[in-house]
Amino acid sequence: MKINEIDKLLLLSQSGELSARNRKRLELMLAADPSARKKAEELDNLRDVWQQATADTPFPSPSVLQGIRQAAAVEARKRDMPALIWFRLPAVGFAAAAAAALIALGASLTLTLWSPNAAPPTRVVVVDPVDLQIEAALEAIDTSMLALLDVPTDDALPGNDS
Amino acid sequence: MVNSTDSEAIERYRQGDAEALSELVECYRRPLFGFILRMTRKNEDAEDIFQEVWLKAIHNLPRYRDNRFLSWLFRIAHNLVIDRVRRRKPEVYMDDEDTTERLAYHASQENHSPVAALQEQDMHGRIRTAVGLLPANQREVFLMRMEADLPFKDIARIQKTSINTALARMSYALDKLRKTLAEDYAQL
Repeated sequence: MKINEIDKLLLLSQSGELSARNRKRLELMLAADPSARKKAEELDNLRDVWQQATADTPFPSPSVLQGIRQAAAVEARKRDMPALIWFRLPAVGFAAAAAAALIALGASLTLTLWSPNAAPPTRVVVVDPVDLQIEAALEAIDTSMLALLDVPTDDALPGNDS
Repeated sequence: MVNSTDSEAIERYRQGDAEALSELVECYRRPLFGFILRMTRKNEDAEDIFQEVWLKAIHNLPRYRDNRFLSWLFRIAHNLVIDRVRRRKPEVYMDDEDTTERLAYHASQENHSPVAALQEQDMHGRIRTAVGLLPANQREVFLMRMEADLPFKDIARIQKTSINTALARMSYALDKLRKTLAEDYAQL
């Protein structure tokens, strides 16, 4: 791909990446070439026009933003969390609800979600199987919450396959 | 694109303030989502990728050392869009060929010529359609400049190419838009 010199300088000028020396060169070129001046004006105006043309860009849906906020909260809490738990969940789509439920619990836990029907990890939280303190963590969770999460028996937890 | 507000928010997030991340999402959702939407052309795909970008960012923020946060987000988005294209080739083009194939594709999808479609729209609609018809590599450079004001140095890095190629892609994109939108361009 090739680009002529004045187009290159105009683009770099607009993006604020032009050296002082090249700025001088561009000024000389613009002074000598009316069509280049017209191009420079077009370029200056194009961004405004594009922004107006796309002013109706839809925002991501509230559920997407909520999912991001939840994931951020889980990760932020992870900094000082003592335990990790793996849950075998029936479907990936269930993961966000499970994460929200655990956050609501306020327990000092990091949830690691894994769907048997999809290649781990799922999208909500990072899989990190290091130093699982499963027993201690399970005790910290209300057993009714385990039922809500549809968590199978202990033998479904990673490391208990035998 | 060095932004002290970004750095502060990132540091607050690293200290465990989850709200700081929401501020970053809010600040950049328009350029980032606009870019992804116009690269994928499908709202559902755009929402998926937008979410995925932030999940990857959240996961990697503790190790993030760059000072160009928006460029970093776009780099993640660029990679995810490519992944999506590889999985669903018929729906999005990432080739760098002429627009003929794309025009034919749109004509077959919409059952009437894209030229006619352009004529039916107002100026803003025509610009959106014309940008959508650009080859993907050129469209990507155009969007990164117009939506996010990324410097060409960063765009080149994201596209894993030279700065001259990134500049040439932008120049070709502008030439095509100038031809497609001759009357509108006269008003600029």
